[in-house]
Amino acid sequence: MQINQTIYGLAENWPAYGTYQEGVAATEKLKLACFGFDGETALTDVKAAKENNRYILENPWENSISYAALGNFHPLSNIKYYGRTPSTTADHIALINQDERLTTNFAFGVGGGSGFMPIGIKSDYDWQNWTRERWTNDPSWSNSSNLAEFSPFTAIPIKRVVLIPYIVCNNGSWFDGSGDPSGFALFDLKSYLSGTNKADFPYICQIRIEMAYQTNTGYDPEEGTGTPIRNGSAAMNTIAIMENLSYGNGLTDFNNNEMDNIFKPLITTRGYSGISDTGLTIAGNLSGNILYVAVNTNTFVCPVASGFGLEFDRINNLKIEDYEIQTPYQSYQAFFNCDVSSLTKDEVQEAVRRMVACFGLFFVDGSDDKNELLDSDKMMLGTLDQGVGNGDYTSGLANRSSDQWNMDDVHEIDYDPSNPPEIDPNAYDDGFNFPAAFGLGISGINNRYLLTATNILTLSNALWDFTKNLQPEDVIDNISQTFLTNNPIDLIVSLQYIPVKDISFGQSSAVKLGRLDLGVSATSVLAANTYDCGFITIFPTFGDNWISKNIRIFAYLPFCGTVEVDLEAAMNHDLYLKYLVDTYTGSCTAVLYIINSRKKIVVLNTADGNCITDIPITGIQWETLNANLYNAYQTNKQLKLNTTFGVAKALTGFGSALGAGDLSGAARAGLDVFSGASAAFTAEKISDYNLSHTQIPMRSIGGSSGITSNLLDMNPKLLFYRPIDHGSESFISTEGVACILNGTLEGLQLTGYTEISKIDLNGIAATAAEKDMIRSLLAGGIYV
Amino acid sequence: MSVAILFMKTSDDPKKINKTFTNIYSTTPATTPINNTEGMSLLYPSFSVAYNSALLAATHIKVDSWGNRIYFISSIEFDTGYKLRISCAIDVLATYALQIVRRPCTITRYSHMGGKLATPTYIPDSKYPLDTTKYEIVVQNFSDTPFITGASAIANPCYILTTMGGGT
Repeated sequence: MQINQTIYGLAENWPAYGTYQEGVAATEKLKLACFGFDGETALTDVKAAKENNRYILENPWENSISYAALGNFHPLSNIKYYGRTPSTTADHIALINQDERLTTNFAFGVGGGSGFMPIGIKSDYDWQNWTRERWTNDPSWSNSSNLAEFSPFTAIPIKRVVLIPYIVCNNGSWFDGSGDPSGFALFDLKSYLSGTNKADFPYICQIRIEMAYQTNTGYDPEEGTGTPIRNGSAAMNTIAIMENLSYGNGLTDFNNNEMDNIFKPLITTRGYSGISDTGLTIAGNLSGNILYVAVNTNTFVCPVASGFGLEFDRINNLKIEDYEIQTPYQSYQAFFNCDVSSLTKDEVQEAVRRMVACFGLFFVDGSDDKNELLDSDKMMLGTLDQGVGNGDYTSGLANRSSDQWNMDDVHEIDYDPSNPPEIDPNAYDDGFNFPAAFGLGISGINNRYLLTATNILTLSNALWDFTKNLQPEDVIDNISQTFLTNNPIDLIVSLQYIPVKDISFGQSSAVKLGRLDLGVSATSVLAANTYDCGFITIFPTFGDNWISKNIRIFAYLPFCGTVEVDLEAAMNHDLYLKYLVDTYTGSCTAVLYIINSRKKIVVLNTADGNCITDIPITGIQWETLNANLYNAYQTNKQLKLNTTFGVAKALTGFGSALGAGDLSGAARAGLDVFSGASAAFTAEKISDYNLSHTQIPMRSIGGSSGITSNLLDMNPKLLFYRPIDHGSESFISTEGVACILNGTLEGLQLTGYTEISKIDLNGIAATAAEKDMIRSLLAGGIYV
Repeated sequence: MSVAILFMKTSDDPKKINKTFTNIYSTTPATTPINNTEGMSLLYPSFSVAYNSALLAATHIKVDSWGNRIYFISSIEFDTGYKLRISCAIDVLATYALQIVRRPCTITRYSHMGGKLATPTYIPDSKYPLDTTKYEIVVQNFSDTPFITGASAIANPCYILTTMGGGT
């Protein structure tokens, strides 16, 4: 790298190593930048560029000060300024002004002292009013006795540092009664999301980042040899927003009080030592946790940065716009915060990760992960698009595909803070997200059991055999006690066949029908699951040309059919397949997607189907059987009773008739008796028959559906329809290939058959007719 | 009027720009009188020269005094007096070859660049012999599937029984 000697003078005149402490002029500090890794407190010192392979400055007014930009959604691009505006009746804290930058230049650095802002605004040095001057034309550095300089880092070795996010949070008890702050805690992101910490401390006041840097020299971050040992903690407590970074009139007249010629930072952030001073604040209250409503101060402004879905628009438990200050004026302490109790842990994690990712460096969730290898699953790397961080990041092996993987220093990032790229605010890529798989296995009301074919047979037999060891008189009582209904089969909702993997959920337990243990064990079933089926690279078989665009691709998706894939979107990408299966209804959705250049998921196709087959099951309808049995028995009993007396009565009549000497009447009566007795006899026999042949009512549960889909290939596939290419070398030699080229035949080194549609013949001393002939011949094809 | 003519021959295609010529014979002005030129075109001249069998192999002539123009020999006729009547047509490609290859132009077809055979580009080419009426079908499996197949379906749990109840 070239030393920028035109600005800083000859390199040999730069301050030597270790001389920083000895009254080195502020200008000299800017020439020397190193983010050391030898265990020294390099971050509060600057070292000679020449020694020990330290990083040296290059183009310091460009990306060595501000190596990247924060995108539009980052909190520091969206700073809201809340202030106290007096009114006639009461004072309110309300939104006074608001930043919304498409990109925000920033610089890490060292600055500030305890309790003071490291940025000075030309003002009356009333530091409580510092932000009032924020909207003046020329915010500048100041070096009053209360204010310190800001010294930016101008070199950061990408692979030797790791950012760690920290959460300053509160449990809702903001003060301890004496007016001192209480109820605060500080967690790294990983700890905040573990256990009950998030629930116990749902009010986030600040999000900070700490930089851990490598303290030993034995580690090669690219090869992963040696032990990282990133134990050093950057003493940086300041980040400056360096919008419109500009170079002033040179350093010759530079002194500590005139840094406004060099930098024009908008704002710097800092922590608050009263709570914890770990790291830099990148979201929440930027000027510390405490909002002071000062006495005898007309106005004040407090900057609060919100973004990625975390809004710090509450003061303690009140919304900003509802906050009122009692009169007469008093001094208040209040804390801007964001209530995350309604957000899931995943949502909080993703929002914080995206804030950190915008800085384009490696980062982890927890401090105990800072020594992970750079391509481990716990290590993440912010993605930069034209030098702008939009919150995208990679993790694990995907880090190797990032541009920063091949860089040693942030200087190598192609970004110019004085000329940031034009960002289309509508170009921010949200991509698609797939929710995590979830399971639902409820017992006690509705059970779902996952069984094998063998289990089903055992279970089916049990439905018919469960009363075989019972005495008949105990059957009905047993049924009512064992089942919740008189019909055991009514307890079965459905039986389905679903040939899908990995849908088991929970521990194995006995399969029960009501209270009846059916003798098999099974686990419960996930309500739904997602499956990654891998990817297939869509390669332009015929080259990256128009012929490859004649390829057609179809995706065969089991149970979902076949869909045509958009070739233009998929070409030169890995085409991924994911299945989403709902085990309740059997509906399955196949999703085909790619990962675009912004590392976002883009769904190209979806297809729906059903992979469940309903199987009917049968059993005895006991209730009806019992009723039938009872009715038949009662009828039988009654008949028997009636028949006995009836016959006796009839016989008595017969005898009387005979005694009367009227044989015909007697005979008739006898016949009647016989007929009645015969009828009674017949009815009784029929009743006996009916009782012993009481119909057993059956019931079938569940419908049946086709199973033919299960006979097809269960492996999802891509079918590539490729046209037949008859092109040959002789064809190309005599006919050429279609193209659009501009230049000269000599410059393009074209030979062989060539057709030229247009040519500029200026400067050729030929007649008009000759020129026409030239054009005509060239258009018709010539040989060079 | 007479001109000096250089007779040349080449085996290159008439549509080639940078032709390679072999000189055959040079006439002098004295030996190449121009007949009455009324009506003779600069682009399509004709000459009468003394018979010389070597001239019969010529394919081109070059007339330096006429702007170094190079002409195709369109026809050679035997004339009386042991003369040959040479009819010519301007070869603009050969005449202005050096200038043509250095003028900016738009190329719509080419066969070689930098000595390498061209390959189809992103521009659709209606002349290219691509058969889109027939397709070669190639099948590729995804690396995994969510479904259990074949014999595995018997051994694996694939049945969901949904029941009510479940008391103790």
